[in-house]
Amino acid sequence: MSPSISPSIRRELNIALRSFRLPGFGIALLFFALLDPPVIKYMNRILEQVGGAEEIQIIMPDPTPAMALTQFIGDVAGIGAFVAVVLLMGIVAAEKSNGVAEWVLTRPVTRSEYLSAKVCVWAVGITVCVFAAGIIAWLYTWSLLGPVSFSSMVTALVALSAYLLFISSFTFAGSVVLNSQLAAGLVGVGAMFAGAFVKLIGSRLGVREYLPYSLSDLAISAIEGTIAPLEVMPATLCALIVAFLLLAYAYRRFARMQL
Amino acid sequence: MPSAGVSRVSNVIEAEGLTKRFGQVTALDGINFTVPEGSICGFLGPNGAGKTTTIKILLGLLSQSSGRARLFGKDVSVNQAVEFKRMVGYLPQDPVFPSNMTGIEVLRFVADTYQMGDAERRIADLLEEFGLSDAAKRMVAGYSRGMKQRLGLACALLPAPKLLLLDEPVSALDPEGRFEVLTLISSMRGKCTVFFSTHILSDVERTCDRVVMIHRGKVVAQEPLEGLIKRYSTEQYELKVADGLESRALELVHSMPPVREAILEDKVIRITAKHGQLDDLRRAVVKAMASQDIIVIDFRLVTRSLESIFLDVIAANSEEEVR
Repeated sequence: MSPSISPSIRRELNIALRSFRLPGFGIALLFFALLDPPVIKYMNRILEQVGGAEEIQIIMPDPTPAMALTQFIGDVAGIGAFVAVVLLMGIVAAEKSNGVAEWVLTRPVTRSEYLSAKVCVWAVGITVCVFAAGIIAWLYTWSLLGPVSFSSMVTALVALSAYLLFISSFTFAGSVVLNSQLAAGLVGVGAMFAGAFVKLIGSRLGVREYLPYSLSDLAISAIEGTIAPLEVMPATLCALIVAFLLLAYAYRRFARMQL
Repeated sequence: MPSAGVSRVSNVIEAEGLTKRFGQVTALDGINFTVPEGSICGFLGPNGAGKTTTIKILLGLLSQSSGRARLFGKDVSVNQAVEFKRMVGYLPQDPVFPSNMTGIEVLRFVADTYQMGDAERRIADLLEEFGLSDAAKRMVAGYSRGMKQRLGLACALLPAPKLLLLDEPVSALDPEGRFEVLTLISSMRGKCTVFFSTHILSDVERTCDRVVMIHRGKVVAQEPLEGLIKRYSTEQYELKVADGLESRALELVHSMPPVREAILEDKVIRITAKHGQLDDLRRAVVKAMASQDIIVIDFRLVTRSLESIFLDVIAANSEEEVR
């Protein structure tokens, strides 16, 4: 690592922690890790309480560890991704508009170092948060409902991290290229909502297993034990390649940008 | 400081036909100027003249539409090389710092980016010098505008750069702070090149040895300050003599060959010399007053302020534009 990028990484980490953005993201994931296993375990009782009052009988299958972790994966892929979009939408756009980017870039810091520091901190931060929350969810599920294969859980977390990085890269690129953080947020949300449409097209073309949007489904399949760990690799690689290309585009645009 | 392989040059800043357009608006219209090494150059112009745009081009934050800008003899460009940045200290007009950092952390960040190694002693000295020691561990978000400007200056000076680019460096400071900062800028003479923009003429008069005047995106004057003041100086003396002797003195002055005009106003005789005869006039007045035993209270050359010169230069430029 270039010694001149180290101060930028420290600054970015400092800001991510003190602004509570990175801890906030971790807490959001932790919330699902601690909520989903007991909710699944006690879902029948909860429904009995609700249904009893309304005199409606709802029959649910017996809770399994896979159900709890599937619920966790669904929440992280949906709400967690949305939280990531909200936290990342101003990461560059806000600094461009308030003058901090100008201030930093008039020091001996290159434009690529400035962006790379942010990418490093957030890519590592998102991955660490997903794995930490995932391991906590796995342990809690084990204690409440029984075990799930650790390798399956790791496979699912790899897929889930790749999916979040894939969605985050849209938001990040939007924040670099556009001057409005709201517009960057819309790019991220748009990327999330485009998933259903892209998956539909991908199914028709027979390439669904390569689509980054299939990663949350693949993570669930990994937890359910219906796929082998290596089967998430094509979509994971595709997600990382798309993220890389988006970042490359953002770097290129930023290198020539007037500030 | 690293030399970055840049050869020793006499002009630290050079602008040749530098033009910048924002859509239909021409912010800089082919400006040419140079700033010699070691000088303190005031970049003078009214608000909206193009001062900040020029500085941003020099810093590689904006690209020019046409023309050339050179620092240390090499062309500048957007996405400036780090080697250039190491030689430049910059203070923006309204300093903004990374949020959630304290004053001392901001300075440590700057020291780290310049790879200064152990800079704690220098940071402590600068905090002391700029009266920020007590606020060093407070978040900069809570600083007043003046404190931010002082911190910005400390950041610019911390790496002891070869070139200081200061955009309105004292605009947010109180009179005492202004005096201290201008004194500090003056003390940089010979140590590094200072290029600072301002619309406050007295600051330039007090600090600079060179001036570049810009108006509506065009350089209207650039030369050593002394030369500019001399070029635009009046050929006029003021003479004050002891009470009751004014009429006699005026009569004497009128009879002198180098005098074009002499008038008495509020007990002061204003004497205008014929063109190029200012020195002859001075000698004649001194000699005549002494020989006639007229007690002289005051005798001085009327100098013009930079402000009036600036207005004249701008007026001349506007007339030229109309023609």
